[in-house]
Amino acid sequence: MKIALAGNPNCGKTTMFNALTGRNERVGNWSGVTVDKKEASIKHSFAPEGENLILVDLPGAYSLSTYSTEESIAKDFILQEKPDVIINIVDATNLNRSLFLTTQLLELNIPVVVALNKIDLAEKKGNRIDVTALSEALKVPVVCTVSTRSSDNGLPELIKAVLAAEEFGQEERVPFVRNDRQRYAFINELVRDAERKKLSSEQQTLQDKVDRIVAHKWLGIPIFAAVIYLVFSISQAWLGLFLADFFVGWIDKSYEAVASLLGEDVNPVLAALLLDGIIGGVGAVIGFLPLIMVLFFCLALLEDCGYMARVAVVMDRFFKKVGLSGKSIIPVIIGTGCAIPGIMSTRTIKNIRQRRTTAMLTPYMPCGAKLSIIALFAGVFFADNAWVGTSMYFLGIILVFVGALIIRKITGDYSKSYFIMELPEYRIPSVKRAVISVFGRAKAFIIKAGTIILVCNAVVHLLQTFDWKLQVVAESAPETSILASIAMPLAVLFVPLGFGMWQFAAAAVTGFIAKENVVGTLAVTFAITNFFDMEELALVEGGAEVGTILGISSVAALAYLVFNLFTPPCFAAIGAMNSEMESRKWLVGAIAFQLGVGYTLAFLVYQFGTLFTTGSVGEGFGAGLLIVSAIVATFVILMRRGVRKHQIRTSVQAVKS
Amino acid sequence: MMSLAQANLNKPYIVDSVHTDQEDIREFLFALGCYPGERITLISKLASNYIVNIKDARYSIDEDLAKAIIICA
Amino acid sequence: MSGIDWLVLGVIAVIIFIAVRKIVKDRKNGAKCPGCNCSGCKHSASSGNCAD
Repeated sequence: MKIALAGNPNCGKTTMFNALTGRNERVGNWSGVTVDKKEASIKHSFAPEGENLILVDLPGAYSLSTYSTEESIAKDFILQEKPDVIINIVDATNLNRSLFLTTQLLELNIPVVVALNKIDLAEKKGNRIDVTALSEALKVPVVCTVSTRSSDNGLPELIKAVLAAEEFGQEERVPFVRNDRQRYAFINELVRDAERKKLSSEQQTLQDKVDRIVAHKWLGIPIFAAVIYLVFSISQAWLGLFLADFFVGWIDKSYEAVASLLGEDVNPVLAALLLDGIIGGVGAVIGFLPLIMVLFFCLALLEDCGYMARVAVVMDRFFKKVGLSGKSIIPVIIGTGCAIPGIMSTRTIKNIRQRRTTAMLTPYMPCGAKLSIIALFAGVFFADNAWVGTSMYFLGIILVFVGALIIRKITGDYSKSYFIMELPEYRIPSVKRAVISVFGRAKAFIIKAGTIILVCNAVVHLLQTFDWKLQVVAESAPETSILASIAMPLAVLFVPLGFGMWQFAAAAVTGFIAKENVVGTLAVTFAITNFFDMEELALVEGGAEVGTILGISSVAALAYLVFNLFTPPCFAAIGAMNSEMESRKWLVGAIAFQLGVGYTLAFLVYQFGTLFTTGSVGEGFGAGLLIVSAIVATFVILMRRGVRKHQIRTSVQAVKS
Repeated sequence: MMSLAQANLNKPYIVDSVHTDQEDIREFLFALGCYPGERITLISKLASNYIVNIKDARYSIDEDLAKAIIICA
Repeated sequence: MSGIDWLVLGVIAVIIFIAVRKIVKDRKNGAKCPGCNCSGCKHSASSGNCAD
């Protein structure tokens, strides 16, 4: 039996979905969190014996007409997949508006059960709702629920009502009204009878005062910057680093345990593969797990409290200048966790150019995987200075703006769309929910490390152990390995960027499979087992051990970091981009754009950095300049063409009118 | 005829019409409860964003949209 | 290659086999990254757990 969850955005559908199915789908306190339908079976504790109840979580919809993509998904699902019962989640704090969708759902001739959710919040405000009157007027069962509570939350009663509704069906329903206006007339009357409110929502509240500061014309940006800096510091410099030390110590011990277990007699190739390739490579990546977990925890709290919508308001003014709207900031912020859900959330953006632009710029905010690369280089070369990471995030935001401008010029598409966004009430973020979601992410990270990254590291290790004749490569001649010989031609391209060594080229390439592989591959190719020192509560001091092993200057390291952060993301994220672009031309353009930007930026960082620190330019300046000039020239030509396209378009319109 | 952009804060107004040729935004606003005859209140004005209250919910709308919503004086 | 070598080789082979199997299983369920269910599981009406 299929049950659909339908309701306004941010009314608690996904929370209820998680509670009923035991899943851990993403929940956030802003409209547009869920962009995909999600299916799962209801937990056995709720369902009767033997019955398989499938619950489908849909994106929020204010109505069944189709202004936004999420509403079309909801509408299409209901019309095509014909669920057996619809649970219409109605936000008790927003009764009037919620009922608009309800009346539309009731006309579909599918049994509906209304879950009056957030009833606790409504009561706290002093609002009283006459549930019986509501139920009689709508002619459907109405069950009060509090989906955020783990017990006494109305869910068992809800499922019982659902099963009953399915059994007894619903009487053939005459449409309530003839048009939408009558719809609201009906609703207004119903609400007048059934709802008693203590305070008018039209009055200023404390939250409005907070909004006035948080979304303030001038204060908003510094506040936002402070929040980002705080999140980053906590995850990389303070708590995250502290936890990482314990973690890495444990990994080191396992390494030694296995090493002693193997003893002296084992074939050195096999031993090296197991110890350095597998345990070492994966261990190097897993060492960063605490940092990433703390980051995700902070993000979860941020997403839960309701601040995100305010950020969209603050950024709208600036995004409008580059042809986007405030809505584009949300995918970018989600992207700091993982670019894939960020890219997918661009579905909430209606304008197609804005959606595609945002989708291809979202990866420019360093994701959790890229955080391990940042942490690595920040620790090894810059003594863990928090400014390294922060500057990478700011560079990311700057690139989002610049990129949006360039893309708008190239497409010649200056279309605007209105920005309207619901501002949900602030709520104290639930630490429990954040912890649950973090453990979910941690588990995913560990699985990723144990699968893709493990296999990559093993392959990399094998390729660097053997040469083309399948003989073990001598210690003194690592360049003869298969891996080196493949990577060296590519490394030539990187000479003007400061890291023209095959190890770095190989690491960058494996980075496309998963960005964590950059760390893993570097660990394997340079035979480093951990980037942390157990004695000190910090990554090894710049230059002391790891820095010299890696053999590049700090400037070159920065350039390499920039390169990996701002080239195309991992294949999985590229796949997500592909789904949202819906056009081969745009996808190719996006990847070309990202490659061009990554290369150019790394070139600039390395050459100007070297010039600044040593007084002369770095290697390969001439060749690099040629390449970069070609890249920039291509952009300029495309932009010129786009401007001309736009001029033609506007003059045609002028003639028409 | 006044637009929402010129409204005073904290005073409930009645919506007169929505002045736009984009049908879909008009329908969207309708679903939220912003249509001729309904109340709308301006809560805050922050740079070029207007925070409004429609039927128990707060929304942030941009200047263009605020200018498009015509209210009764 | 002595006996312990075969053992180590076997262990490595098992590790890699499990890893590859998990990758393939998650790919089939629609997850783009093994272990991550954030990319949305495609309609698997059975409780095809992406992250199991």
